Amino acid sequence: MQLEEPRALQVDESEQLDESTRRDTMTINMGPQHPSTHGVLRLVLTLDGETILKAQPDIGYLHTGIEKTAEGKSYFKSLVVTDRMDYLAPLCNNLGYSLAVEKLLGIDVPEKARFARVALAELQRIASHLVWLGSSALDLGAQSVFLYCFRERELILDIFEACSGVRMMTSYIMPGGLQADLPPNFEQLVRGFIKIFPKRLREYHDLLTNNRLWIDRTRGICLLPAEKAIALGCSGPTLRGSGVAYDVRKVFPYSGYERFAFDVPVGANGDVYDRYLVRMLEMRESLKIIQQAMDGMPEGRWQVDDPKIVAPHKYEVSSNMEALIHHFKLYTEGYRPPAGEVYVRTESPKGELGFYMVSDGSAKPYRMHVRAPSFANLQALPLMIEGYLISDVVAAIGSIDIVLGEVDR
Amino acid sequence: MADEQRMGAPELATPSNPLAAATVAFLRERFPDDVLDASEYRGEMTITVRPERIAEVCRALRDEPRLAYNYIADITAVDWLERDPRYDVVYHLLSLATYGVVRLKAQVGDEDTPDPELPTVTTVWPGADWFEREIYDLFGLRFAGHPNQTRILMPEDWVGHPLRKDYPLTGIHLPEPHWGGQVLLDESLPAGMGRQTLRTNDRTGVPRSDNLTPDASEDTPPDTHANDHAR
Amino acid sequence: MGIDDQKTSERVNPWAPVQYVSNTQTPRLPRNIEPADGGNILLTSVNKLIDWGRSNSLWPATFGLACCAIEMMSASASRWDISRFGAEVFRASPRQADLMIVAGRLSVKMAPVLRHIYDQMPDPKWVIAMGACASCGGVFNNYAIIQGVDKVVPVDVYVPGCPPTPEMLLHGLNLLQEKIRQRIPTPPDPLKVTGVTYIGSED
Repeated sequence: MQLEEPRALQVDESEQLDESTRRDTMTINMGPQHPSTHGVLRLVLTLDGETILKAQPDIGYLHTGIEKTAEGKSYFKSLVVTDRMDYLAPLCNNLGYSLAVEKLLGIDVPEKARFARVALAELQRIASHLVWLGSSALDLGAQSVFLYCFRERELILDIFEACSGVRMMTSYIMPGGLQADLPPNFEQLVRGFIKIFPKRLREYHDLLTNNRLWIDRTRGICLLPAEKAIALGCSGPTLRGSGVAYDVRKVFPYSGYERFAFDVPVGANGDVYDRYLVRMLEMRESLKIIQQAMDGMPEGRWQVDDPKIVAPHKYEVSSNMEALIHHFKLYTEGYRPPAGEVYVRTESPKGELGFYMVSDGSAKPYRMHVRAPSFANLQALPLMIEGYLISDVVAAIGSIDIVLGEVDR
Repeated sequence: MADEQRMGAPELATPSNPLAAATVAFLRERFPDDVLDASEYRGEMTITVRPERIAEVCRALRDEPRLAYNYIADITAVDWLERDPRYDVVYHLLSLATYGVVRLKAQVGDEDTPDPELPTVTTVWPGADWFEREIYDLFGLRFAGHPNQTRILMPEDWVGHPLRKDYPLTGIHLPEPHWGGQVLLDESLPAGMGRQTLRTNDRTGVPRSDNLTPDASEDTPPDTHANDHAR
Repeated sequence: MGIDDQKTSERVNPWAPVQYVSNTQTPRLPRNIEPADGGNILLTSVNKLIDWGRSNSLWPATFGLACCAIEMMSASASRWDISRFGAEVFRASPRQADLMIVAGRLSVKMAPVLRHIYDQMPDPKWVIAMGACASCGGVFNNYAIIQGVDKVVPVDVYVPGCPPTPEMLLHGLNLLQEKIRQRIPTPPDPLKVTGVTYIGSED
């Protein structure tokens, strides 16, 4: 298939100089309440007809003060607010936070917890990409893809509900391991999912990847060159779609990722279609990782065996005095990591999610800063949509896959 | 199992340690007076530099071919209330060529300068733009040379910098029965009070505990919320 | 009274809620109330028909703010089909909607926008506060989050949860439908009570 010319219109310099041929530009406001902005994002667009001349994002409509809230709660309690930042992938946020706190404490989790964390994080990645696919396809007109994606997502949420009782904000991955042991039907549920998902993924490919309408809406649209992406601090599929092979799971592996065999899809052109394909292929790679994690899952403890960090089991608390005291101290005060600071990066479905935690030796984090991937990726949006049409803005926002909860925190 | 768990997190050891030492050596050679400290904790190298020279230091780190720190991962600030200098501005750098990581720190702020200023690094990495705006919004630190130094997360007319340690978590509220900043537009704010976008221009409507009577017209239902405010 | 004393047919359903509408709402009207226009049989039936039509075709305006919006999207997807209750038509424009489901946490910067969108909706309109953050501020009691959207718009139904499962949202929708059919009035407008106007939302 012939690759068409990019549709960016060239602004002719000579036309603008003469007063009589001055173009009238229009400044319009898109959002914050808008079905396609994927949350409360406001864009102030300067248009010439339908062509974007300049775009200025206005964020902060979901600012929740999560970083300041975490400064007032103990390390265990702050886990709960980390779910609510990137609300499409709460387990990935929990994982990043738990790894940071564990690094501060200087502890390791048992093997079973590591494997389970990997399996859950990859399931969460698939769930997040399904919401991305459903909503960006819906924005570009493919309504049935939305329903199919949410049908598969319900299966993943069933797995999370079996583990923790909660569909979305599970807080299941905590510093020290998992909140509770994996349920007895975990293996059956996950293997059942692995069995049916490849066929469903092929269904999505059949619907979109070679679809003439989809290609027209996404090929050659909103290009992001690799040097600009690097200079702006983009990460994740936004950066990999432009050809830069940077995946935190490969470069700075955590939680045992170095033991899993998987590929990292990288795009060529940096347009919307490449970013779409990168995420679709990532879902397939995640399935591979989950398969390997389930095959290699050891038996054993799911939490660190240290009562000063993780509360002892309830039957011990009711019979053993030390266990009771540990339980009391943990839930009233909490553990005190030694003073210091760490920065732990993980690969969330949106990009490089970093947790910078500063401890001053007390039971509460002195500073928790979250390096949100969508915050940096959104800086690339004005550059991406300059010169394209207003209907391409919708495709661009969908392709960056922003989550305003983590942009605004 | 216990000994395996106390090993000090080997899985998180960054592969950047040889490059971190090279970075310190390079900076000590290039900027001998400006590197104040270099330390390592849990496998991460932190280099403290003089805040006035931070832009040059970052540019040198980016342009040096052996190190090539071309990616700004994160810029943030920490408020050490009892310490002088008060703020730590922390830069996390990454090299996509060599996968080296380093943390730079610039310490600013003392009793005489409540709103300290330091140079911007947006000329080195354009992606630093929003990170610095966020620090300005939430901490009040200014960045000289920043293209667009405005509030990014809080409303434009917000007073105060929320992430400072002396700003209360629940915000600065007007006394009861106000629930959000219901100050009249043409009144000046009481000293030390924050301001929100919820302003009123209706003189009669500012609730005080003595003027809350339910609306007596017949088509509006009895106001069961009246008592909620006169707490 | 022991559980063995009751015959199975007489046993009260222990899971039935004690009351359907919270006490902080306006006083509940008794059922089978005579309408204000004087008890004309024809008008009563017409009113009942109108209420039935309104309750079964609520068109929500998309006001998903945060995490609850994702559960709202799940409620409109195929497993928990909101279309069973006539509410699958999520209108992007508030001028075409009559239900606003405020799903998510309302930050200080967003509050004027919420009120603006609410003002743009034509009467009759209803509001469901979905989630703990919309009902009362939820997990976040701080400078940035309005502690309950009922400080900004009058709320008819509160759906707790963080986030509420789609079933809970649909239950809230059913309660609203009953409320419409029973002609229970909406609580008073909080801005009229407190006299606040939002900058940028005066009409």
